[in-house]
Amino acid sequence: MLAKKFTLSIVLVIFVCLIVSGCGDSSSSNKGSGSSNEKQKITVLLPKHEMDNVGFMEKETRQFEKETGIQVELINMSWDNVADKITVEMASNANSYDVIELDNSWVAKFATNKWITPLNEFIGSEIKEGVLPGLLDKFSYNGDLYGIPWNNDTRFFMYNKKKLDAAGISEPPKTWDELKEQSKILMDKGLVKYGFIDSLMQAQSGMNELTFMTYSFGGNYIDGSGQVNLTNNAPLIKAYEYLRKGLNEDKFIDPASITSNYETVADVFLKGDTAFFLQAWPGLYQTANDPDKSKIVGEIAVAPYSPGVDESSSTVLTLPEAMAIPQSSKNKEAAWKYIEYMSSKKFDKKKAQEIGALPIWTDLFNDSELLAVYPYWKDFGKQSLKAKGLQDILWYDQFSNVVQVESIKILLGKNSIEDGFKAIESNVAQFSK
Amino acid sequence: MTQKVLKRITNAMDSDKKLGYLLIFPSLLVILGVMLYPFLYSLNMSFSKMDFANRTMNYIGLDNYIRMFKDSYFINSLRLTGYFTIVTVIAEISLGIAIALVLNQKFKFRGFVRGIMILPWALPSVVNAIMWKWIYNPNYGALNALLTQMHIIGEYRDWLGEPSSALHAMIFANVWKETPYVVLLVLAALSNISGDLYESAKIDGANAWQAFWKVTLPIVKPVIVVLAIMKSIWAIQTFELPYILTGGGPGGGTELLSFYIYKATFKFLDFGMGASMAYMITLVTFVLSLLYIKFLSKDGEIV
Repeated sequence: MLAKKFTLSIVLVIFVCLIVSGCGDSSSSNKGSGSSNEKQKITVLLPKHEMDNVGFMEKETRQFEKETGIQVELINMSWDNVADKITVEMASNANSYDVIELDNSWVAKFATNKWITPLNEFIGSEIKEGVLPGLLDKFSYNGDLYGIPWNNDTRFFMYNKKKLDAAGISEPPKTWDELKEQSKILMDKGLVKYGFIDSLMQAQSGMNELTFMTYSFGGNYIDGSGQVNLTNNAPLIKAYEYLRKGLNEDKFIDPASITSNYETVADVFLKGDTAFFLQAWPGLYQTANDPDKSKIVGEIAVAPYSPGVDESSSTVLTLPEAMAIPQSSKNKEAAWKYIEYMSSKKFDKKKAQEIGALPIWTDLFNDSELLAVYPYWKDFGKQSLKAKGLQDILWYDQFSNVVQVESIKILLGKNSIEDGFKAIESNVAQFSK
Repeated sequence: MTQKVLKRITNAMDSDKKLGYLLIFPSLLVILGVMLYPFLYSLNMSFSKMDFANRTMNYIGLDNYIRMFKDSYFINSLRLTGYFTIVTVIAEISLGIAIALVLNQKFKFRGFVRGIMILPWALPSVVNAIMWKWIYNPNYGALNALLTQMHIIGEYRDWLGEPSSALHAMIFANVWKETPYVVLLVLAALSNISGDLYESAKIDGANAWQAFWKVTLPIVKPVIVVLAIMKSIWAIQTFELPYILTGGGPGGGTELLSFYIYKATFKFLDFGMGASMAYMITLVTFVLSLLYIKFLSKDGEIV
């Protein structure tokens, strides 16, 4: 009995020792390891570039390691997973990452909460003068720059030229009325099931599309004083009427739009069931010409404009993503070196050549080598002139959620436009004060 | 020195009671660390407002709880979760008992059918949600193809495109996955019923229906009560179906409580209200469990 108790007590003592040593200051065990010869290591958390099917970012990260001696742990995940991880990371003030994704809709929130480092002291004049000014503005807040764009995710109006030709339509629609007329002609001739399908699913993609529609009808949810003002907002009412009638009465918009995300919309377009893709990402052009992924190889074209009420309201949406440095990072210098490398003009051109990603440097849109490979970028350039980003407000996520929920009720006819707008205003009022 | 320390510990363990306390002490430490501390921390959070810029939590009393009940989206999610829970639990238990009764009969390939039956439950929840998303696809989904070919519907429909049909489509996906678990447990209970009981009932003149109500049901009742409690708790906590299948839409029509808590906490960064809503779930689950036990058992005891 005594022997048993003795053994048990030894086990207990060992267990307690293990716990105590585990809870101890781990820095003591690393004493002397902080010599200057030690390799610096940074951790980078970014979503995978939607066009990077060849591991380009991974390959270039390894090249960066070779050139600088800085070791990089590159973590790639889906955008949603990255967003969740970063939110928890920032809110808990942890320091797991040195370079993080900064979405264009997060800038106000991240900057106000002092989660990210202003980059003013890091950037040189070359970036300031050479990168598309609209992109840098999107990642600036109260005069400070917080992110360097790595993904110029601007959306463009594409259409199925072969189907338009077959219907005897000489040029793609310039206005919303023309889009409706052409859709009906194409449907009557049995060339498509619907004119277009939109990604209006209750998710951020739905909010993006609604924002695009309101912009291109000449409106905005937010007024000049930064408040949600929808009462008697004529352009917004017209935008919602157009969508609602198109879905339920005129039926030239696929009703599945209510539950579709970007992937679904692309899937339907690539099968040739619709003729117009209102806000296609740049890489879709290449996907549409890949026989493994598309049934419309050689059929699509990029319009030099995007539909609007008239030419002045024509708009395309830009949803760029940037790299930022968390305030909690202990390797800010090394993190900046990585960002600088990954946003250099040389790297940007290589990225455009290898995966077809849109450049962030203004010059590269006129680069003869790139235009020889991507002649349709000329039309991208024309549409880019009308690019607009999402609303830059501190309470964007709550606002976006309310608009998504209430807009679907309007589009399904569960609520009148007037009542739906009142519901948006009253729900937004609780957090916009 | 070491010997003295060990002797003291050995002496301290003289009684079995003391030894017991000593042995559970490490587990107690772990439980306190991973359960009690987060529990109390989140309780504190539910009475506070997080200030991220200054890294502080400011006490605001019951403000989060008051705000929560003023939030129409929260009330909507509470209502939807209640409906989802009641319908899924009733459907799963009724269907589960019916299927178990069939599978309890002797027939050819019974073992094989029983094995197949469990497959939906064996699927990971996420896979189940993705699978149903494809089945319900409005343009290329299997459900539309099947119903059109059987001439039940004339044209393809967007099953997730209306709040009400989306909610019921989600309920169907949940019932499909969760019913086999009920079948499994009820089958186990049925296999314990002696054939003599049915013979006695038959001699007493009972028909099959009466035998079910008077013999089968009372014996499997304890299992049903446990299942109802477990299923209710699981249904209230359902997250992956709205997250993957519908995104809570359309128009908030499938925004169950767990999903709304996730949005409030991690999308809107309203940690205080997120915590208060999570406590609401805990309370509802607790009350429901008590109600079930009271309602379904005699004298308030499950025997």
